[in-house]
This record gives sequence, structure tokens and C-alpha cells, in this order.
Amino acid sequence: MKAGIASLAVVGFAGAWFGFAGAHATPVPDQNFASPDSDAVLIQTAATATVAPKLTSTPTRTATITVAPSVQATVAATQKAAATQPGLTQAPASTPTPIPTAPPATPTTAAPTPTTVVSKPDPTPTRAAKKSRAS
Amino acid sequence: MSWKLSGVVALGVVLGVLAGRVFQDSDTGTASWDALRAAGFGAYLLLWLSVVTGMAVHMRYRPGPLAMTWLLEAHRISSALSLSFTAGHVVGLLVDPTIAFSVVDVAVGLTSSYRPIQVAFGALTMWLMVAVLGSTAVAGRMPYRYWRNAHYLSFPAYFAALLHGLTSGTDATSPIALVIYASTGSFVAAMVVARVFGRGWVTAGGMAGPPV
Repeated sequence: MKAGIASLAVVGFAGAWFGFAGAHATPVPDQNFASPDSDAVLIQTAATATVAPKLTSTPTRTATITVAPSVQATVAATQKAAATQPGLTQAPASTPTPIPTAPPATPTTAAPTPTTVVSKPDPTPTRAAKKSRAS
Repeated sequence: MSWKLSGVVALGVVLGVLAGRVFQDSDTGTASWDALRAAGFGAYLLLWLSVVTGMAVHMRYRPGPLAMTWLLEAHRISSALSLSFTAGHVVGLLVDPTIAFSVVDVAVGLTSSYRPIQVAFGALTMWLMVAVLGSTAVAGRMPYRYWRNAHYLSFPAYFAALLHGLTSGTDATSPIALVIYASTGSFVAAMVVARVFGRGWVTAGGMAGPPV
């Protein structure tokens, strides 16, 4: 009876071993695992690799993203605040950027007008002149 | 007889795991990993059989004239064989390149970088099994009360093995493994309920008489 249980255990061990070796349905944890949950990562990688060929076809569905009202309110408030600040306003796209025009090519060659300085005698006699005249 | 037979089986399982390690491709081979998984499953199922037959003996379950003798022999050999397969499981963990376990990692569990707590459940199971079987080996030289108290360690050993199987390893999420764990665990839980609360439930044909 003991030999029977031992034989059954050994046969079960060998069967399970070859069953695992033949199945390979579940991946072995990677030797270079980075986290204790590397099994899940590897299983996820295997699942992605299995699904990957289906993704090569052209997608026929359009995903709709629903944004929560709180997020919408935050975005609107941010846009409003940005619009009120002059530094953050953006120029309208339809306004053309003015191109600077070159100045006229004719140079200004006007000669400077000569100024003649006419010295006039001082009508007011100086104190020294008054003194000499008086003497 | 049980010790010799379990020793031979342990040697065979360990050699099988080592052969898988030697002949596998060093980089992509999984022979030793598959072998230690199989050894772990074998150890768990034999521990379960040991617990179930031990409780049946304790409750004097008598479905036939040879049932008590059969149950007692099955209890002894299954517990010894469970330790044999545990040896193969441990040796496989030490030699397999998938996760480089050290001796301390396997013996303690909490020091390993791979799921330390879950591995610790396995290490706890191993040491509790060693304690139970060691106390049985020297039962003739120790008071019965001590042996009996040490024998109760088989319950935490089983539940630690169940947690170890459910939370660690490649087969933790396998549907077949989950079915095995659920069925065996619920069976033991039902027997514990019958053991604690069901004394005298069955008096004819099944459980009879006071517990041993």
C-alpha cells in the first residue's frame, strides 16, 4: 500500500512535469525581473503579443472620450484667465505680419546753408568806455 | 519502511530536478522550473492527504474492516513523501536560474526579492513539517502530550502551504490550480468543522467513538 501511494505520487510528479513542459501556457518569471509582480507583467506581455496581430487591421470604431464636468470647468476657467492677460493673448491668425518697407533710395544731399554771422557793435558802452570818454 | 521509501523517492525527485537543470538550455530552458513546480504540487497534495487521513484516524472513521490500518499507513507514508517532494522543490529553487534564490531566501523567505512574504509561507510550511515529522521520529522518547501538541502544527503547516500555493509561483492564477486548491482546502475545512463541532454526529458506519 505504501509502495502504491509512492508510485502514484512519482507518476503524478512526472506527469505534471511533462504537462507543464508541454503546455507552456503560463510564462516563467523572468530572470531579470524588476518587481515582485513580474509574472503579471510577463503574462500581460504575452497577452499583448497574442492580440497584436488583430490590431493591424483598420480600426472601424471611434472611441469617445467623456470629460468630467469638473474638468471641463477647469479648462474653461484656464482659457478665460489666459484670454484676460495681455501677455498671454495670441495674435489672430488672419492678421498679416507687416513687412518693413525699405526707405527711398534717393539720398538727401542738401548742402548745409552757410550762416553769415554779422557782428554788430554793442550799442551799450561799457563802463570803461564811459570812463575814458568822461576823462 | 516509510523513511526508507520516502528517502528513495526524495533522491529520485531531487535527481530528476537536477537532471532537468543540467540538460536544459541555460537561457531559455524551463525544465528545472517545470520540475520544481510539479514537486511543489506533489508536496502540497501529499500534505493534504496526510492531514485528511490523520484527521480521519483521529475521528476513528471506519468505512471498512481494514480502513483504520489503511488510513494510518496512508497518513504515515503521505506525510513522509510530502517532505520528500518538498526537498525536490527546494533543491529546484536553489539550482534553477529563473530566480536566483539563495539558501537563506529559501530557508527564511523574507529575504528574497521575489515575493518575500509569499515565499515565507512556503518556508514556514517546510519547517513546520520538519517539526511534526521530527517529533514523530522521536515520539517514543518524549511524553505523549508533547508529541500531540507538536502534531497540531500540521494544521498551520497545511494552511501556510495553501497560502503559498495561492499567492506565489507561476500557477497561482492557473484555473486548474485554483480548482485543486479550492477543493482540497474546502475538504480540510469541512473536516475541521466536523472535528471541532461534530463529535457524535455519525455513530454508525462512519465516524464512531470518541476521538483518540
